[in-house]
Amino acid sequence: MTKGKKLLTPYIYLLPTIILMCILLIIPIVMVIGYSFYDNVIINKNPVFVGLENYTTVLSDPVFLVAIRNTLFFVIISIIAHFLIGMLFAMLLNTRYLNVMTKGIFRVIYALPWMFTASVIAIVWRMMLNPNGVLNYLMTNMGIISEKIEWLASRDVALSAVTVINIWSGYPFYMISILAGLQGISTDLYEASALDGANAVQTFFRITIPQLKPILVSLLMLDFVWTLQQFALIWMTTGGGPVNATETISTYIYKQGFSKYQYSMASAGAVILLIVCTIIGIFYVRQQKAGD
Amino acid sequence: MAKEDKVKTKWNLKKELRLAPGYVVIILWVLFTLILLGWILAASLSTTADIFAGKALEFPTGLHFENYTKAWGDGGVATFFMNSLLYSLVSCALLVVICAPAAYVLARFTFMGNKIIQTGFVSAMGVPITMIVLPLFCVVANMGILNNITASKVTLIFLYVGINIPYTTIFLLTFFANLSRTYEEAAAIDGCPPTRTFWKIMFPMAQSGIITVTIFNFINIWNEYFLSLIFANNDALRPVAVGLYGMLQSMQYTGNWAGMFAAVMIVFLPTFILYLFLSEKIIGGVTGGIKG
Repeated sequence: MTKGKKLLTPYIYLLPTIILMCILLIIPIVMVIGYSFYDNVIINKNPVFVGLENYTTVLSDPVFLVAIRNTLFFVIISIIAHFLIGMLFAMLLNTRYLNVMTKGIFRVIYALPWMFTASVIAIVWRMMLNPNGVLNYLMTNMGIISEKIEWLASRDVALSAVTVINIWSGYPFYMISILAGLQGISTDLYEASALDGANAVQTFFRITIPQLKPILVSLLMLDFVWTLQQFALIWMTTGGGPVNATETISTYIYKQGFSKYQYSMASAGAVILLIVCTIIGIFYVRQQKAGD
Repeated sequence: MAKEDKVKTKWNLKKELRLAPGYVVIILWVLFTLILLGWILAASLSTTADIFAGKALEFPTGLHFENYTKAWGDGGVATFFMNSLLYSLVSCALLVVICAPAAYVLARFTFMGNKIIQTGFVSAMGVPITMIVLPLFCVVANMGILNNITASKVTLIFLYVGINIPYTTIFLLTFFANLSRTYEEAAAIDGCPPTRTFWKIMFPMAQSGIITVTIFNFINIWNEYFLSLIFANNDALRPVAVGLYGMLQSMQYTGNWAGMFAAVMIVFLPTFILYLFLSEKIIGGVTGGIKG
């Protein structure tokens, strides 16, 4: 093998991924940024450069501001809950006093929501949360609520209801990843800490958490990005309504782009979303580098 | 050993007591998920009239397996199901073939741009799909692809592959980095060319990581909604995630609830079976992949 060929080998292996990334990521991103500076691109044959006008329009659109607020609520509550539930279940599945069979069964039961496709989750939850559905039936019978609640059609509770649905559908990914991480922690560490007289809380915060840190950071970052762009569940349960109560940045961009055909507005919204993701991404890359 | 066991037991008991309130939540959670799934299963084998009469669990008219055959044939689940199967299988296979070599060279070779490309993939994970979908849709629409079934299918697979490349590559990269170098060194001494070494030695060694990431990809693609909603604008193209929702809604309004639940079960089964048989492997693979 010649030296030149050897030098080229890595690039040949990488070529397909790089070409695909250019076509699907880099070029579209450049195009979107371009769109966001013109007035009504695509529909208008000769779009006019308008500078930052789309951004000022989007940022002063009250619906967009509501969407930002809703997205923050949705993302922050979802991530915290995913993390806590995923951690709890993973710890349980990792304990030694459950036998292999029981663990196997629980591992499947806990991961069930992950295997439902979003449309099924949406339909099933819509039926449960229906005014005549199971939840209202149980809660009125048990005396928790006095009258039936329109969970997905009430402006006060719709956002919380959608967040609960997202929490339910998203925690298994944490559970599986954390479980894998827990199984990778050497038992020597736990034995040493037990011999030193550490209690369960100390062991958890001094050994479990630091050992899991690389996984936890990756999970939180990935989940942040995924939850931020969660579209399917919201779209199929409430469609952003009632009266924008569950409008998020994703549904806003979709409506601007594909129902109102305001591509420039949609692009400006998308660029704002990208900027947020980039900031988070920088933290992630730094964390990765610090870990190396 | 005796001493070690004692230490472990003490640690577990303490933890168990502290987690007592957590157990209540966990048991309720399991019950909730099981009841939900049990109800769907029972309803899918019942009749619409029985479901409304609240007798879904009593089967007064026997088990109605014909709900499944009807949903599969007349309901149109067959088309969506086969589409999803095609998209998921082809995309998963392509992702492995494209990403494994890329991950391998990034993990093993030192060459110009390696770090930059790695950072690029990590950042690409953070790019919201909402961002790239506008220009891609315009390009695809302008090329007239949307009127041709085969071309549209190829485009969809191309998109599914593209959006999953960053995660797959990064996952496999950490996995390859954790594999021992001894085998490659031995192969190099025996004069085995790098390409052969990769496909014959390293690729099989990374099997568990490849299986894990393939399952993640399969579930992701099987459940993908946003891209399918925009690019699959014809019933002949729609995968389950999008097709099912329209179908479920129409069944809900025409009152064919039993058929709707049968459709839900049909769509749920592939991912469920996949997970049931491979959950051990998934967890083993994640340990290698994320631990870093």
